[in-house]
Amino acid sequence: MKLIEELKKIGKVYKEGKNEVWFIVPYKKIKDAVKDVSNSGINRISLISGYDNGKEIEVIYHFVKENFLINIKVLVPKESSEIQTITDMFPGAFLLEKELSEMLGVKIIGHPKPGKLFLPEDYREKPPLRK
Amino acid sequence: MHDMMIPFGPAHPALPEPVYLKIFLEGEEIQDVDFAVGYNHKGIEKALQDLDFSKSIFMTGRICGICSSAHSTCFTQGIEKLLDLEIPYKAKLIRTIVFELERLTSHLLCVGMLGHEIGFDTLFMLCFREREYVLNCLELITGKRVVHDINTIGGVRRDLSPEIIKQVNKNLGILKEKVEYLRTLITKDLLIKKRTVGIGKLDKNDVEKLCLVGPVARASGVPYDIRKIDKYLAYDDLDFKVITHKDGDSFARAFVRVQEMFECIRLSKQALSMIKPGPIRNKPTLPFTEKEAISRVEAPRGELIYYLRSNTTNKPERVKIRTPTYANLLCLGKILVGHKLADVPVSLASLDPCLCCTDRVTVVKDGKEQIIKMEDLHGHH
Amino acid sequence: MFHVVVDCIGDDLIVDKIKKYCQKKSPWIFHFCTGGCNGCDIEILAAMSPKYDFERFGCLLKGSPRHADIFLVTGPVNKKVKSRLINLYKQIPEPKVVIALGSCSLSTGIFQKAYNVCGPVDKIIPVDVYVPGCPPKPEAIIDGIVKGIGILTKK
Repeated sequence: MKLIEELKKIGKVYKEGKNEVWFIVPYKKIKDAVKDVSNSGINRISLISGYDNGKEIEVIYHFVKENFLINIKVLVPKESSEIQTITDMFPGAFLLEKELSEMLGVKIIGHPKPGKLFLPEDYREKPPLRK
Repeated sequence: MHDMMIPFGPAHPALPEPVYLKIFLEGEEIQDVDFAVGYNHKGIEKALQDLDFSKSIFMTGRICGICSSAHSTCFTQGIEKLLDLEIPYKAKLIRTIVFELERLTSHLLCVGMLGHEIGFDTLFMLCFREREYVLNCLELITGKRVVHDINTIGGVRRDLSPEIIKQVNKNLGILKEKVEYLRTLITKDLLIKKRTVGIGKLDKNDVEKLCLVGPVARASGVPYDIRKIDKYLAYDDLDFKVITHKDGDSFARAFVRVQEMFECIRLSKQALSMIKPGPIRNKPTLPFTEKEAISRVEAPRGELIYYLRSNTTNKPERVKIRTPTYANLLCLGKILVGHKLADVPVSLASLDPCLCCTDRVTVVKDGKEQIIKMEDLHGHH
Repeated sequence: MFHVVVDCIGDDLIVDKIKKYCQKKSPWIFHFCTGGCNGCDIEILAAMSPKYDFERFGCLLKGSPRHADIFLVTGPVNKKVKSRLINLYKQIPEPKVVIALGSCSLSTGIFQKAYNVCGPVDKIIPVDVYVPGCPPKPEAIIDGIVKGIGILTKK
C-alpha cells in the first residue's frame, strides 16, 4: 500500500499481523504521519489508547480502512506531557482525545473544548491511569 | 442569548451509558446542546488490572447489561489473540448464537423504548412480550436471562443438547411471525411515521466525518458492519445481508433495527443447524508474553473495540475500551439542533443511548425560576 | 352515632385507615440507577411487561419522586451521583420504603476495587428491603416489592 511506504519514511514498523500494521514514529513527526494518513483517503479513527510505561507515555492512534488497521505509536515524554490535537483532520477524535487527557494527564494542544469528562469536578488526585 | 436551558438526564432504566444533556432553547426551537458524561464511570479499566485474565472476563460482562456477551466475547477474543490460541468450531457457533440472540433482545428493547417516547405504550408492551421468547432461549442455553457468563479462555462453558436446540428453533419460529407484525405496524401506522420521519436527519458526510458506528451509520447509507468486514467467529460461513437505508432520520434508524431482527433470526437458525458433536474448549498454553492486540466486534449498537496489553504475569497490563454509544455521542448536536423540544425524546431513543426523561425543566425567565416536569412535556401521562 | 363510629375503628381515624388502604392497594414506584450496568434496570422493565406484570398489583412506574411510595435503587453508588441520590431521597414524601436491588447496591458486587465507587447504598440512605441477584429475576423483584408494601403499611 502506498501509505505504508510513505509512513516507513517517517517511522518504522515494529509489528505486522494479518490485516494490521504497527508503526512507531518520533515525537516531533506525529503530525506529519497523521497528515499522510488523512491525505491517503482514510477518514475513520476508531481508538486512541494510552499507556504509562514508567518513563514515557505511549499514545497509539488506531486508524481503520475497512478491514485493515493502521496503528501509529508515539512516545510522549513525561516532563512535558503534551501532544498536538488531530481534530482538525479527524473530527471524530474529539471525545477520544478528551479521555486520553483525563485518564493519563496528557495535555492536548489546540483541542476545541478541553475540560473534564468522566471524573467529578472536585477530583484533585493524580490521573487514574498513571503509575 | 438563550432564554431557556433544560437539564436532561442522567439516569434511565434499561439502556447503557447515562448522559447528562443541557439543551439551550429559544421558544420551542433548540439552538445548542451541551453534554456531560461520567455518571456511570466506575473505573473499570483500572480495576481490570488487578484481576487475573480468567476472572476479568466476568467483570467485562458486567460493563453493560444489554451488550454483556458482546463485551465478554471481544475481551476473550483479544486474550486468544495474545496467546495465539485457536478455539474449536463448535465454540465459535455457540458464541455466535448467544451474540445474535442478544442482538435481538437489544433491538426489541430499542423499538419498545421508541414506542414509549412517542406515547405508544402498546408497542412498548408488545416488544417486551416478544422479548420473553428470546430470553427463554437464552436461559436454556446459558442458564441466565440477562448477563450471560458463557465465555472462557479457549471456548465456552456450556454445551448445547439436542433438546435445547429443538426448543430454541421452535421459539424462533414463533418469534418470526411476531416480528413480521411489528414491521407491518411500524411501516403502516400513520402516527409513528408523523413523529419520526424527517426528525434527526444525518447524511453520509456527517457519518464519515464524525466516525459514527452501528445502525445509526447504516441508516444513513454507510454499510459499516464489522461482521462482514472482519469475519470473526463463524460469520464467514453464514449467509446474511447488511441492512442499510438512505434517509438517515429516526424512522430509518428504527426500520434498520427491525430488518436486522430478521437477519438475527436467520443467522441463529443457520448456526443451530451446523452444530455437531465435538469439543467446546481448547486449553490455553501459558505463560503470557509481552504483547499487544486489538479486538473488534459488532455489538448491537455498533463497533466495539478493545486494546489489550499483556506482560509476563497472568494479569492484564492495560485494557482500553471504546464502546459504540461513546462514538455516537458526537452526533447529538447535529440531530437535535433546529428541531422542537418535543422531538428530543424521539431522536434520542432512535440513537439508542441511555437517557432519562424523568428530569426537571428549569425555566429562567426575567430572573425567576419555575420548575416544570418532563412528563408534562411528554403530554401523555 | 359518633360514639358507635369511634368504637368501630379503635385508635385510628377513618381518614388514616383509608390512606393506609390506598397505599397498600396502589403503591407507586420511583426507580433510580446509580451507575450500574443496567442489567437490573432491564429486569425491572421486564417485571412490568405482560408476562410478569406488577401493574396488576396497582404499582405504576412514575417519573417523579414526589409521587412515589417506594424507591427502587440499583447500582453501586458513583461519586458523581451520590449527592443526587441523597436529594432524591429527601424529595420523596413520608411514609416511604427503600428497596436496594441487585448485588451492586447491596455490597458493590464485582466493582469493590473500582476507584470511583462510594459504597453500597445503605451507607448513604437507610434501606428497608434487600433483593440479591446479578441481576435478580423479575419474580424476585415482585417478591421484594410485596415485602416492601408490607413494611409500608406498618409505617
